[in-house]
Amino acid sequence: MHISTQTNRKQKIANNMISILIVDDQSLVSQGLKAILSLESDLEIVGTAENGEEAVVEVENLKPDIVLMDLRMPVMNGSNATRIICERFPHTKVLVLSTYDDDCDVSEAIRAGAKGYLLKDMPADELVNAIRAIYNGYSQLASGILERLVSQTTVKLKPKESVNSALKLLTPRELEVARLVAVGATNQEIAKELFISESTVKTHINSIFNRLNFKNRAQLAIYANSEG
Amino acid sequence: MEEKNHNLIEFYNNLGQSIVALHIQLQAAQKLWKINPTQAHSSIVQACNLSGNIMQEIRQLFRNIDEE
Repeated sequence: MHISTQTNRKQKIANNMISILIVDDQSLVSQGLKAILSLESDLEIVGTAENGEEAVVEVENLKPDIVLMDLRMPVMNGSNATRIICERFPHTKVLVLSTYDDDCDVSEAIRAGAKGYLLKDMPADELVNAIRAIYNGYSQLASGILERLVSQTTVKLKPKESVNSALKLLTPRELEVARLVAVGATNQEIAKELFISESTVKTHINSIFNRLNFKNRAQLAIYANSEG
Repeated sequence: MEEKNHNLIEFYNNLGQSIVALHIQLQAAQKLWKINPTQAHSSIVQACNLSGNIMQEIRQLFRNIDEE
């Protein structure tokens, strides 16, 4: 009995491990990240890839929970690989880990479906927490990026229509869901908060995406946060 | 002039990539030094080699600028 309980616990821990694929053309970066992340009991590095094309193949083989994706790589860059992975393997979440945070790279990665955009020189402990947050359905952006994107979105929208007026396209229920997505709530948390099922939450979120022409939660979060 | 700018951008891009790798190796050493000193030592060796390479690249750039 004791043994089987122990085995179950071990299995449970094994099942709760977050599996990660590291994609980077610099082996010193992959090696270093692997060494750092392997120290965490709930993280498992299941593989590495050196470019976007390899990443797509490895995601298909390994079905990782999270892909840590570099952007500037030979053969296929990280944004293109992110787009393919998000379309073909929706259960795998892509967290971009880049050297640079110029606006073009960031918006391309988010448009491609990345759930987060962080910088490689961030403190290791913060990276570990960000991976856990992404796994749990939250979005993560390196400090400063959100502010820059919000100011751009606001500047772009204000001449024609206020940010508020675009959100008025949503039903009151969709607006409640959008506000919860904006604070990083998961579908499960939103369902609990609004006393509705998770599938209803998903329906509302899809409808919000269609109305506002968004592809993912990160875009919605940035947009809804800019509304204040 | 345009080519020079392009080369400089490329140089800074590579420099950034190398410094980030250096930073990650040092972070790994910092995390590992109590738990796995052998692996920590290996990370420090990698970091030393990398910083040496970075300095060589910077010196080369300055030599090229001098020659022009």
